[in-house]
Amino acid sequence: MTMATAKLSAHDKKDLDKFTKFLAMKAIQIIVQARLGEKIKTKSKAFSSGADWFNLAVKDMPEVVNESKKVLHGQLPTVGNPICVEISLRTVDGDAMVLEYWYLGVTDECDSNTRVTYTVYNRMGIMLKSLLTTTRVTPAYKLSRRQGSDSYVVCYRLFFGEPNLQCLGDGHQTKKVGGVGTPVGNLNLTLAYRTKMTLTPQKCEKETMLVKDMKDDHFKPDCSPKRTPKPCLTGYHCESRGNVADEIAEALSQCEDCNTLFSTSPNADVAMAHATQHHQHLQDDRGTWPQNDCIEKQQSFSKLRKIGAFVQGGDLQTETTDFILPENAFNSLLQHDDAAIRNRNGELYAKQPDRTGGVDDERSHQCEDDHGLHKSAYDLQSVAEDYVMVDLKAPFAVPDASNELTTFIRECQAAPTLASFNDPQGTPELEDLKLQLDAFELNADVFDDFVNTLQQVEG
Amino acid sequence: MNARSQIFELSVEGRQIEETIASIFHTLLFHRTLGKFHYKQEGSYSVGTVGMEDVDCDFIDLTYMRVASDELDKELKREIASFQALLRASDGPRSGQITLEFYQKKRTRWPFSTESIPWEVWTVRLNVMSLANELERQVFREQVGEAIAEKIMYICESMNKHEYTPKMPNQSELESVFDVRLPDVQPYLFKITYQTTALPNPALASTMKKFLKDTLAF
Repeated sequence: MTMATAKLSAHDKKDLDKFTKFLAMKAIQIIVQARLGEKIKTKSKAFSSGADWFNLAVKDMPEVVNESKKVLHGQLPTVGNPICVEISLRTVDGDAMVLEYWYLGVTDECDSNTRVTYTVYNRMGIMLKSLLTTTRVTPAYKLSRRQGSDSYVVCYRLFFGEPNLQCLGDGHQTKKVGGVGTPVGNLNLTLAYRTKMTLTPQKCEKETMLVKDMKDDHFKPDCSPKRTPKPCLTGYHCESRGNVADEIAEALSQCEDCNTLFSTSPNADVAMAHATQHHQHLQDDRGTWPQNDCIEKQQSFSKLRKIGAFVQGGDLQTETTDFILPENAFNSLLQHDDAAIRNRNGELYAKQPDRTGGVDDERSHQCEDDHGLHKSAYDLQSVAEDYVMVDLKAPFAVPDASNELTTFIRECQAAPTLASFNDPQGTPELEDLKLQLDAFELNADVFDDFVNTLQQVEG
Repeated sequence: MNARSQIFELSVEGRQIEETIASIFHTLLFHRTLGKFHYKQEGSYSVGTVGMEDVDCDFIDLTYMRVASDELDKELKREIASFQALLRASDGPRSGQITLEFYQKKRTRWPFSTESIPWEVWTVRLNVMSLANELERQVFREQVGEAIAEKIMYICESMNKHEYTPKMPNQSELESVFDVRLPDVQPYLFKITYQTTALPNPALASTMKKFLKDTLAF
């Protein structure tokens, strides 16, 4: 392997690392997007843009890009340390079940004759096509299409390290999705998936126990190996917001442009290398999308909100709050609880499904509101409450008592409103009743006469 | 050169024929389609982007991925529809096979026209069956879905063995390797043939043809 590395020029090594990084990023996107529960459609383009890595139109969801960057953090998969995507199912009752592990690893074997610029890049594209195809035919795909906030959601978690296949239960299967030989080791993408779908949370009891025994501050927020699983749909809601999200996704993708120029001749690698370097220089000089700018652009997401063409002026936030009903009976308790946890952990890491800070928190709320899932103002409030409640179940968070409280409040909030409240005209039954009473009143004399006749007959 | 050849055998209901073949052939074409080539100068070219689309089947419990190209889909569906019409005819045969063959064109000596050399051949053999009631259909819908899912995983495994595919051509030879008629994508040259009686394997037929031609050349 060392010899192979020595054979690889510095430029090829740099390219290979870049390709591997984007292979991992795109693979994560493909896997998470396949578990959104939505059908995917992207357009073919005769001319590729710099953002279309591996000549495939795979859109980037900003939330997933963020999460991937946090986990990858400049690190690439190595022998014995693959990058792993865990797909799990979580029910509204809090039960969880791991459905799949997708892991991209490296083996010791290597293919020293493979050309990095052309062959490896193309084979990575084929591997991603196989990934796109395979993600649709596993049992978890069907489950993800049937997910819903009232039954269960499909979540994802990214980490480095070997997956714990025991969590997939008896009879789990392993399939090789694809492989690419490179001069420094073969890249393999593997899938391990559950075949028995009966919900048995105790299967992962060991892991749960481990988490329970830990102190809240055992892991620092930034170096915790166990990241909280996040619903796949969270990122999608943000992504589907329209222009702003598209701009951000594009900006993120354009941070590093991909190769779109190839050679038909095996000897043209050197010339191609120069061309790529020149392209890189141009990109640097242009300085349109350096990394920091991308992050800043994303952080100012909440400020970029646009008001629709026919909406009357004014602050959207203020208008929304005007319609919200007065505070719920237990709202203050929840806020107090929230503050207590902040103080205890020093940071919101255990409560936040996304540890990117307050901006993301705000963004998540806005995303859900804007997506139009909940119509009434009461529900807008309820969505925000639900968001906090889900977080309270996080492994490092609070004792069970709070969970009981939140369950109780959830039940109260989930109770359907009476149909009569929604009908200002009154129900037809009430109308009929009124008419009947009027009719009886008018005919009161007739009824009296009838009663008198009966009395006379008896007499 | 011998073409790689693979045969899948499936039993399906009449109304599942089209979706069964489309799901398998689209998966193959998704792997064997590239973006459009644009030659910059001799020896270098840029490649376009391949879009993708999820397709839900109506009569099979399956979703598959296909290249986002209506023209490619139409071409495929046209061939499949003809095959399906033959199999579903009231007095027609109850089994048949359809083949997707990837090939490249080779120039030959006058007076022969260009020769098509297959390099990968995929055949789907179908037995058409009838089911008694809706309950059986419901169970069968899932069973066929699982059987196709298995075939799709096999295709992925096969595609990642990185066996022979034609070399990337120079501009002048592009049309001898790729189908350049489509405006948005560029699949390897392919053709679809079908038959409803047991005929010899097309790859074998092509080898025999070549063998005879070579013999006659002497």
